Amino acid sequence: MKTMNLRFLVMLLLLAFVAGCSTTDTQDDAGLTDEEAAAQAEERAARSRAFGAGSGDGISDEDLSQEERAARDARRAAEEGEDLRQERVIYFDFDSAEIKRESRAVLEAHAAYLNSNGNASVTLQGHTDERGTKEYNLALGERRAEAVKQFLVVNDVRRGQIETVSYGEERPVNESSSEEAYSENRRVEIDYN
Amino acid sequence: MYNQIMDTVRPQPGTLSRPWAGFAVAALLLLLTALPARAELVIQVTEGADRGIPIAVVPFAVSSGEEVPEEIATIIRNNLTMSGDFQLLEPGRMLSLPTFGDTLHYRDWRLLGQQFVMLGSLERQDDGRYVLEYELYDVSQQRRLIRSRATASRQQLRQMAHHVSNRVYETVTGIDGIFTTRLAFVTRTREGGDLLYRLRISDIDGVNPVTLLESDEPILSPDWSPDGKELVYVSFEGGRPGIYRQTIASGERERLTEFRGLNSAPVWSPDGKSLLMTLSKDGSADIYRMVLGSRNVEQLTRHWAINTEASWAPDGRSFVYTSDRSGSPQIYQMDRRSGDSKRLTFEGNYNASAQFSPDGKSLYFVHGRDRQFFIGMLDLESGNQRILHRTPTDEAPGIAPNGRLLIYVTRQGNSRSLELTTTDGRSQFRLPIEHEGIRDPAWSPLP
Amino acid sequence: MQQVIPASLVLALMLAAGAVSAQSVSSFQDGSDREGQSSGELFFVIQELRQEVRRLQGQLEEQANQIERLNRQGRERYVDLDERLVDVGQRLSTVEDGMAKGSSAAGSGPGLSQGGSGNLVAGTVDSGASRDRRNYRQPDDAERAAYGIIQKRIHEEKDYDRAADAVYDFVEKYPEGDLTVNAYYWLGEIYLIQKNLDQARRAFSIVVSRYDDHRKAPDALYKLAVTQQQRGDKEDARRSLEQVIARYPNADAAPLARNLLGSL
Repeated sequence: MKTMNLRFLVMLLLLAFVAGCSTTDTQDDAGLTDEEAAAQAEERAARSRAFGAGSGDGISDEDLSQEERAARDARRAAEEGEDLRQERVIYFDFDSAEIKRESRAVLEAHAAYLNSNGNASVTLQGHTDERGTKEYNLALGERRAEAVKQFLVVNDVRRGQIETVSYGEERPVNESSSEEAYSENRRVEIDYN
Repeated sequence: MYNQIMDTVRPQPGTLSRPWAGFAVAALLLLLTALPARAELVIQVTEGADRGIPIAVVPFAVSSGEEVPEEIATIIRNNLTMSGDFQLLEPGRMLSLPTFGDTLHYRDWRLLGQQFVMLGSLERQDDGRYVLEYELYDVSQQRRLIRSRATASRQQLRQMAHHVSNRVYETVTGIDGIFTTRLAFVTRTREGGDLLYRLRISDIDGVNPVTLLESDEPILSPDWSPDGKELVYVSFEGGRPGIYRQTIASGERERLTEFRGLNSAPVWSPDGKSLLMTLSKDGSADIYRMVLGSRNVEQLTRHWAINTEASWAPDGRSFVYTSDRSGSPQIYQMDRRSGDSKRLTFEGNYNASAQFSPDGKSLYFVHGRDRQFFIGMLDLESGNQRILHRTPTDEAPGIAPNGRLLIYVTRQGNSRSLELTTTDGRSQFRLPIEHEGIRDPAWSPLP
Repeated sequence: MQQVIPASLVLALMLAAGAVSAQSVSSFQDGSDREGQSSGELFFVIQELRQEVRRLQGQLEEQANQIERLNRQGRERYVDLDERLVDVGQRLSTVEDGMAKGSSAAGSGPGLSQGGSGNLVAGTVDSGASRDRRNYRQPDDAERAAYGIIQKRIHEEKDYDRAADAVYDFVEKYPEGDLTVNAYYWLGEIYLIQKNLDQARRAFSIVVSRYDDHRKAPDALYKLAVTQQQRGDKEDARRSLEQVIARYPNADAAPLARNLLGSL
């Protein structure tokens, strides 16, 4: 997912650069060369397939109509999202409110759901481990919740659908004092209202 | 039914609105009169017992046949011990037990290396009140420093012992005694699987606790008003944080804030007219000032990092706060006039929750290194930072209003106890009283 | 292609502005999931940038602090050097005195036997006694104004660090004048307030040893004793106080010295 995305970004920038160069260099450029157009088409095809071809069920795309294919993709994406959406806890490092890249898919699934269900809303509960001062931890929990909120907003979720609250170190899921317990407690819980 | 218990704040003596106030007082008195004749536990000196001024508090004479509800002399001995300025002679080592000046032989006490001797006798009057006659002698000068008489009802005996302790302490050291001050703290306990928070106050030795508020939701950060009559604190009742102000005597209280996001870390200004607090209503956690009269809030810090745990300098010209704008929590000082902030701590990757000493010359704060936490101290003139190594704790200590002591909670496994350290870090004491799940101690101003 | 170019431009703009507007991204019809991904990517980029800014801010603060400390140390070394120069001058004059007076002088100079052990004050007073009273250069208006800055920073602003800076500037620009001695004296006071006792001792010693006939000398000697007492050098303090009384019996500092001597 990540490399795919980076490749896409690089591609975009390259294309912009190429386009910029070509318009200044040659006036009679009619647009894309055949090769470029082919490459782009291939790229798009590769992209759209890359999303839908998760399970490889042996049915070729050609066998389905355009509508059928779209419906299937949507259903499958929804199922996949539903699985991801079962994950409702995002974890953090000590004294950090940075969302880890590994949490991205889960958060995107929540964003997609909130996007397509405008009436749904969530409360993001920020928590910390027990170490450090209580008030700083309240602020840290708040910032963790805010970071998750920012991510959802960037992914098109309306601000009105999201509330945040920080409990700092007051609501641990694991009350023992070990590194393991600490890492379980540094979290944001996504609660659907 | 369960839903109703969640989020409900159960009224307690002292928390009630006006119609209940009379009952609250009645309940309080009941609690006090019900005190049994207790055996006073002796304060445990965990470190540095031999550094104080040697003083002997001779067991007091008691009029015959009287059962005394409080061991006055032991309370005084405990007080002087926990002040960190005295070294108490054990009664078992005393050569004689005089009860009045006429029978005092200075030689005996010089032999034992004592500098001061306190004598007393307690008598019960016909009206049921108790009279303590007490004297304080300077052994080397062979001179009487105090000869006085205090009276108290049975219920006030402990208070009387604290009052007398203050007189002895102040006479010898010339420093304000803190034995009639009080402690505010929060307890968090598990009852029937649910967490239960209580906001309580007690005498400074932890005895005579009174509950001001009880809630299933977190209670945090109590802070005393400069006149000692009110507290501000954070309560999550209703599932969201709010800053509350409560009058201790009547239990009357009001919610001051319920902004979106954080409502935390309230502290009174030295003049009692405003609060500093942490809000995140405008996005990031920043320090705001609320004028109590108008309830207007004014934003003081502006930074997208965390800014919290503000605390005024005693002169009101600046305040310190915690910010992680440099990647880890560190302590900054903001000058009120210029609005400029300056970083103060440069050692260790966790310095938070600073408070000024009453003379404004140093800061005490939580210092973390290698993920262990201690009380740190910063001398503001020299910029030198040091660590009180024998005080492992990760919450802000309470500072005695005379600047001589810090009180903090230490944990051993699941049990928590109150400890005191002298501000020079040399002596530590553990208070014998236990409050399950105690946290967030805050020391009241002088009465 | 037509769709790709503006999208990439928008992306570049957003990167430059550092702000992400979800609406502007989703307004492109070309597959909102693709655009969502790039804004998701931007989220992480900004997160990393913020972390980097904090790290740099931390470094900046720490280095500023380092520089401040180094500056302070630099100033302290300066005083140290000054004191050593005085010390060397002292010994030279002692040696010269000794040569002039011949062998009989050794017996008549109490305290000179200690000269070798580096007891600055004892040596000073001795040699000072044999010196004539000087006429100190009187200040002009500019010098007075510069001196006023020191006073203002000490008494009004109570900004002792900057006051010390002003003293150093002053003694460099106006050496060996009447006010120069005062400036050294105040440097001692500043360090005494700051509990920088080593530096205070050095500053007072400069006045005591180099300008022992100046009107500030008795005060400086007394304050030297106070400094020594605070350092825990009780014997040195006692000696200094006795010298105040012996050498300057009519000075204001003499009764103060007697008082302090009584409580030592």
